[in-house]
Amino acid sequence: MAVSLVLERVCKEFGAGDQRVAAVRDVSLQVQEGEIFTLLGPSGCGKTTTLRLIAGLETPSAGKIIFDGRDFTSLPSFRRNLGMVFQSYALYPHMSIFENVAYGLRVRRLSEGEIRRRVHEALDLVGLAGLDARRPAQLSGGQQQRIALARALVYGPRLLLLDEPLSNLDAKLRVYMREEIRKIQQRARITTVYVTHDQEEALSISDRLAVMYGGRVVQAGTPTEVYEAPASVGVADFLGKANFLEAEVVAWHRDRVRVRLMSGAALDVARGDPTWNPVEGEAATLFIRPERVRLGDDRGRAAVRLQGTVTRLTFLGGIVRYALDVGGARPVLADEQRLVPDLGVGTATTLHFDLADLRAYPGTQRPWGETA
Amino acid sequence: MKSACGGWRRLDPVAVLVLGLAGLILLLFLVYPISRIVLNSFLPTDAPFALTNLTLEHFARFASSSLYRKALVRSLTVSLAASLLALCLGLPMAFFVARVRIPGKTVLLSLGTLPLVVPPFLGAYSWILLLGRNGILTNLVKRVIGFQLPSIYGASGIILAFTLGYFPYVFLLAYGALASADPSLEESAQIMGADRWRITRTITLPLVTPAIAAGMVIIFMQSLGSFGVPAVLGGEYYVLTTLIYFQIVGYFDLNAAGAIALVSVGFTAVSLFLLHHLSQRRGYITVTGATRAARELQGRGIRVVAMAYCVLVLGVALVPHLIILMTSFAETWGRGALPTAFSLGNYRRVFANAWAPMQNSLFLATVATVAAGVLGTLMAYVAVRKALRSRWVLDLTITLPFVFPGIAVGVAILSGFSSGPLVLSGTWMILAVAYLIRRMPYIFRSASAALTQIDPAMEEASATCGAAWLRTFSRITFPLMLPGILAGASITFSTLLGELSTTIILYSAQWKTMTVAIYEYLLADLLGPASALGTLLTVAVLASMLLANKLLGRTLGSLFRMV
Repeated sequence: MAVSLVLERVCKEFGAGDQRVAAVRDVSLQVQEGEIFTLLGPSGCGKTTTLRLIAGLETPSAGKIIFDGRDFTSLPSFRRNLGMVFQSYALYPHMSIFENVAYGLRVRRLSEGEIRRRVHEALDLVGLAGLDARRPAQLSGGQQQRIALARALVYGPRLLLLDEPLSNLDAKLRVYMREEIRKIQQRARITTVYVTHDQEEALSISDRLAVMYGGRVVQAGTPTEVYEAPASVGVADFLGKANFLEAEVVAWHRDRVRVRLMSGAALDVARGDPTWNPVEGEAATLFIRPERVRLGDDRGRAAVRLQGTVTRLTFLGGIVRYALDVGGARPVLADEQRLVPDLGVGTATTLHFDLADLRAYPGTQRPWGETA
Repeated sequence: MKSACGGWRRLDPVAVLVLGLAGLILLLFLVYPISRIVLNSFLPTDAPFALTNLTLEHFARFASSSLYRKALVRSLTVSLAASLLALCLGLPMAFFVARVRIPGKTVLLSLGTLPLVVPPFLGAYSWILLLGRNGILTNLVKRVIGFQLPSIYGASGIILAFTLGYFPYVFLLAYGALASADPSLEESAQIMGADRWRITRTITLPLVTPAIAAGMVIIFMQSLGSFGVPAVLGGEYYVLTTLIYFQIVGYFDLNAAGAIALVSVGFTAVSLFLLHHLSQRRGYITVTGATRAARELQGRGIRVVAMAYCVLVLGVALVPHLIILMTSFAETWGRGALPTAFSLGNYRRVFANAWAPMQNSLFLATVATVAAGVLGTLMAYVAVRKALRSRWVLDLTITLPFVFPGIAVGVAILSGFSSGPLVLSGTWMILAVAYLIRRMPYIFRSASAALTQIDPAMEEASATCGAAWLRTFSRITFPLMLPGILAGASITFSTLLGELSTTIILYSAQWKTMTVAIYEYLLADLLGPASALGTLLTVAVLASMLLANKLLGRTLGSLFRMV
């Protein structure tokens, strides 16, 4: 697949003088043709600003934006031939649904017959045929969302931009709509940039994603890559639940770090942060997902074992989450599919996991939002 | 131009064009005449400008001349008295309408707004019809109980007319605060054991105090700047505005008039500052916003008292206007108090003699409203969307005419354009310019407010759909702003129809307005034609307001909640 959208060292600063704030710092990205590429990160990470730079609603302070070989950097928004869905949907309250969807076609001066045909096609695509005459205020949130999508797709743009399109919907509808969006996008085969702060949404909808923090891209890759092998403690913590264990570096060879746990056990663990050059004796943080921690007797198959005591037990519906004290500063979480027999609060048990599920990071890294 | 990186904004051609045009108009028609009036007031009468000529003699007259001193004291006294009386009249009514279960609240609110819509000097005139030397009530009382009522001319009449004409400011603002206060505040006090009196004293009143105070300040400013009421009811009782008129018509002393106007502006500026302060406090309170309506009192006694009070106040405020209506149809008056025969004679006379003023009023109000509409809208757009950082400059400049009472704007425009490089006096332009400058803030404010409510994503969505600026503005931004613009325009148009204070300084023989014609009829004691023309004016004002309400789907009262 060919590269479609390229961001080259893009910067965006707001304000002037002392109050200058960098919202986007040195962001470089490549989006493939026809894929959904997601910008994911906590609020204030610069994801929406990056999207607005791609849309042409902001001008970069530095860097270049190239789409299909064309320099977009200083092209005004209305010349970029793109479709955008806003968080607030931005449907025009003074126009009917038909006129809302027809807006981009009228801008392009299509014939009345053609406009009618394509509006109906687009309304069919989003499953809302027959609502032409309504006003936006008469529609439910989910319907408004789909009209906004139809309005952005109807004139066949080459690039679709979605800015937190689902954040105003309730939880069930959100899950349904993200599958709908994915389906519609696949049918239209349109290159899409999607912005969200919801990691589950990002993992489920994207072909590839970039995690942003503090105006920078901290990691880009497929959802599996980023989830399984996060590039920092921050990313690991942001993308789902994470356990962190304290350890100490013993030795280092290529991509593997030999660490010693507080229990005294020594392990060869994959290095999570590719930029890290560990030093012997340095503090390290080991990471493992709760669903990869198993409890009880596994008949000696696991490579790593820890002794712990159950301190809390939370029933979450699909899973049961155990919190265990293993002697470290934080409890270790273990997700089980059902209640483990004879394992109540206060019970001592064995935790075990595979070496391949562990990653090592510098001990100085902390989850975002936590002060060191 | 550098991008936002270095703190530079890319120069937007639209912003430059509009700001340039607006700047030019504001400089020429606002800053220039105001500087002339300020300068003139420090020059001796008829002296050319020179630094050595500068003098304080016009201001010194406030110390030396008893006429000046009295006018100042009287202006402040009647304005203060009117705002206090308006409080006594308006606050109970606001409480009754907001918190007691009585029928027809929408009607009461609309009727309660009417006094603001009708030109105030017509209200003053109606009191002459009732209580003047030959007034209906005066005659009635004299005949029935043989008692000579005190004269309506002078302080008491002016205060009466101000109070009844302006009390809706207190009524509407207090009503708004009382009706929108979060009921859970009072409920929580009740749960903590406070009785009704304590709740009223410690919760309810403090919450509405800023609104009430704002209403009183507005009344004070309006009274201080009013020309029509003291001109009709004052006689020898001069206040600042009539003194200005006297200086201009009597001596054509623009410099002395300018000095008096400046003093008056000083008091208005202080009031406006106070108002700004109050409205900030008020904004702080209403942030919570009510989710439920306030609870209504349902006791039988309080309901009867509330209804009776509202009917009485509205009756006293509005019946005089019905007297104007009746007088306009009166052909002959008997020896009793009331007319004995009715006809359309007055209207025939008015259409024969005052046809030109009617046309002039419509023409001038239309031209000024359209011009103020276009300029106010564009400036609001630039101020809100394009030039956020320098917005306060625009805001301040455009708001300047608020500080200037109508008659002071008249004097300023006359100082600026009766001599010097651009002479407009005697033409319709000088009136149109004055109207435009005075009323543009209404449209600017109301259009800005509308625009602030519009999600910028609406315009961005249009741009991403491929629409260039002009299409986005004409298809999206403008239609969404339109209700706000129309609201401002309807107030502008209807208040311009009834405008007297500025007009009286600037009109010429060919460009006499309806209000001037009415004033002249009054001076000539031609009560019949004055009533007929007044009725026509009231009808025109009401019709334009009602049309706007119809178009906007709002109530009359909401159009006045702009302060």
